[in-house]
Amino acid sequence: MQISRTILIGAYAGCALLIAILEWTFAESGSLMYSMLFFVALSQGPLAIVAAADISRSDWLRAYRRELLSVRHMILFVTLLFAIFAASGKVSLYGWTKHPNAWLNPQFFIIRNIVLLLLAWLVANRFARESLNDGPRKTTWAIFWVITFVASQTIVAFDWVMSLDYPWISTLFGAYFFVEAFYAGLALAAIMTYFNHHNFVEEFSEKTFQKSQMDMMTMFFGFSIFWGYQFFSQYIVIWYGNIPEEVAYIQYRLNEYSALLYLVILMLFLVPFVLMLSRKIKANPRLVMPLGFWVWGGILLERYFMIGPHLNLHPLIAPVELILAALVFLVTLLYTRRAALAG
Amino acid sequence: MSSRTTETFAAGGHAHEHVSDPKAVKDQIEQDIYASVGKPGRLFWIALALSLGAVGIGAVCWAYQIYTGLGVAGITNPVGWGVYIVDFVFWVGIAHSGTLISAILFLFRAKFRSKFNRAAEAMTVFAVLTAGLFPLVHLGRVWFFYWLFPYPNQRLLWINFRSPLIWDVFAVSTYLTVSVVFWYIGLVPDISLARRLKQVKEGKIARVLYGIFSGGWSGSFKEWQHYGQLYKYMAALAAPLVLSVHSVVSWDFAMGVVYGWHTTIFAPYFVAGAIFSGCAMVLTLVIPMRKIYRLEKYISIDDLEKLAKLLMFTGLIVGYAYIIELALAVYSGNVYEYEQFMYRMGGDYAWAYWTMMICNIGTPLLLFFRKLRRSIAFLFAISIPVNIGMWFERFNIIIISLAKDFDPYAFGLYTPSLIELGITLGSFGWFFTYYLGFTRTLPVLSVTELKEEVEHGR
Repeated sequence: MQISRTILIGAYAGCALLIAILEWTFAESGSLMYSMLFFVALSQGPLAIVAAADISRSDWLRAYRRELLSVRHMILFVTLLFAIFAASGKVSLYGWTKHPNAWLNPQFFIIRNIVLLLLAWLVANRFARESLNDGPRKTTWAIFWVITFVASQTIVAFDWVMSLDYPWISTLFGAYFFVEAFYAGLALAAIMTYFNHHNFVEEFSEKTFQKSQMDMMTMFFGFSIFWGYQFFSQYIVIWYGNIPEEVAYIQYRLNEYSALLYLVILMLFLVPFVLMLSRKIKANPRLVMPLGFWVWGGILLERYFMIGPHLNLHPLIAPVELILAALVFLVTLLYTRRAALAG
Repeated sequence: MSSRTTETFAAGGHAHEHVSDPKAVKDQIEQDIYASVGKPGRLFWIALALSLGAVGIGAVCWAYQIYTGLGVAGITNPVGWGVYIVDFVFWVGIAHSGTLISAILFLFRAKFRSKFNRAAEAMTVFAVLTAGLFPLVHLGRVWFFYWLFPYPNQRLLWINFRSPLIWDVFAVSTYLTVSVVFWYIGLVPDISLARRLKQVKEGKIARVLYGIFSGGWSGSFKEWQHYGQLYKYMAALAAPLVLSVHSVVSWDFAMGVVYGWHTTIFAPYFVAGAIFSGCAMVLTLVIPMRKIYRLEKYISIDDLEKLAKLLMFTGLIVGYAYIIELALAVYSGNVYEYEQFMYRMGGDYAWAYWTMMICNIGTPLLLFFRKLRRSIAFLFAISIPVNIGMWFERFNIIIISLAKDFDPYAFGLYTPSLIELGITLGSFGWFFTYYLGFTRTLPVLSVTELKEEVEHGR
């Protein structure tokens, strides 16, 4: 499918306008945060995978480079969504706005997030250009990207999510977010393995691509374990410590959303871990693709688990906005990929 | 079949090398690597004497402590965990790079691992053996150490499985078992090869020992096939241990309701810190070993640079964790957490805090400069402050948090006693004695893997 720049701009403007109308109409709901949280992971994580491969000079990435870098303009759309969220006065849904302090006050909150997201978009573009052209400063920009990515995901975790439960803290939250973004990127690679299989094989030999796919899926498998490890590391310390002001975060969710929690563990750890133990599954594009969607589903549910109790998500608006953002994501992917192919 | 001369081996197999007989190259590798096995030189004996001297001091101190009681140590109320626990965590941390280099880098197919894996694995085993001493040293009645293990007994007592200290017993003993087995599996073909050596043939005891430990290895095709499979599975089994062991060690602290300890980032942060200190110790050991045993053609500056990059990367993760801990202590508005970090930065032990910050955050940043990364003298020089910084990291976590917790009535300072310092010195002697013994009895590089590289090209 050929996507021109006009279609891209049209999709960005049209979807942003529709979302803005929805946000202003449903002034009491913070539904937009749900889409923002999902796509902030999906727009940055895939680039981090490419950066990791570029820094370590690994050849396992080969076939996936262009595909993973294609998501980068989505960062701009997420920035746009954040601007709509802020402009529609949704920051007031955060409890700390009633007692602002030096770090948590609406103005600084909005400014630092917009600046950081825009910076991430600029660095991502520069890094993508260097990486695609195999430029001499590829590694340097990969390092810059990793630093920006870590900073951006950490601030998103602390500002967008953790501050909802202020003064509750978890020092692992930032790391948890950037590991999950990386995991989301690997899920994208799994999905691409199927939908882009024909092009991959055409461009690289069947054997080269299979090797690349196997390495990538082994990494996907590894991150299912790593996700489980991070989840457990955070949970066990809070649960065992049993300090009232800290454990309340888990206690409330366990009472209200226990089924959701078990489902998240099943989706993000148990099922991918058990299935991907098999070499045959990792090697089969038709089987890894649903696993990619499955992990995305797990991330979506988990993000609901995090923000659901606070942001008054609308049962209709939240999914509609998510679909609109997903449409923009698809258009971005197709357009950027085509532009990269055209050179 | 591609081949190379040993002179160009270290250069990474570039196009300019000239082709020679692969068998001759392999023979040369055997000769070079096994050169260290045999009659030791004067330098070895001096180093061994120093190490054994330190072990002697440590042993005397420990014996005195057992005879007199734990009161001779500086630990007191409220600082009930002192330098012994700092040493324990430090040595477990050192033990980490072995599994990382052997297992994770093996699974990632990072080729430079073959230059360090043998030394790092040996280091792992000896460091765990050293770390394992400290819970015993810390016991008032060490002869009851076996009470830590679950076993049927007359008192009908059961260990407290809910205690992280018991988790530690299992985690560390599992790690020791897997590390020893993994190291030994890697060694089998090389031990078998050692039987052929002239100096071994002459020594009766050595011949018998090498014979026993080679386990009847004949090098048949079938044996190699099984060996390859086993090594891969062992690597896969050992990889999660990199995460588990130091996570469990971190939970010794994080599970406690003590500010400065009770924080969720501890597990991954301890793991990164352990790899960081482990890489630094590999540099400290391998750089002199490379020089003394003339292994420059096998361990190239490119290989050392890759290890330096790993050191820099893990250093950045450690730096991230320091910043996050501090930032969230300020952000949360929790007065105890906030006071704890202010006390670390400006209190009685501020010197220890800033030593840690400079050594662990400042020095690895210098590795961003390529010139420094490729200077062997600099890499050796930087490995020492990182080791010191990581020791102080544990000192800060353990001692400062205990010295000042909730109630001003219970605040108190701790100064290590000479006995504690003597035992710490002894632990270094104990570790280096093992390591020196290793360099004289077993090949310090994996001859099998180096020969494989000659066979397959790199």
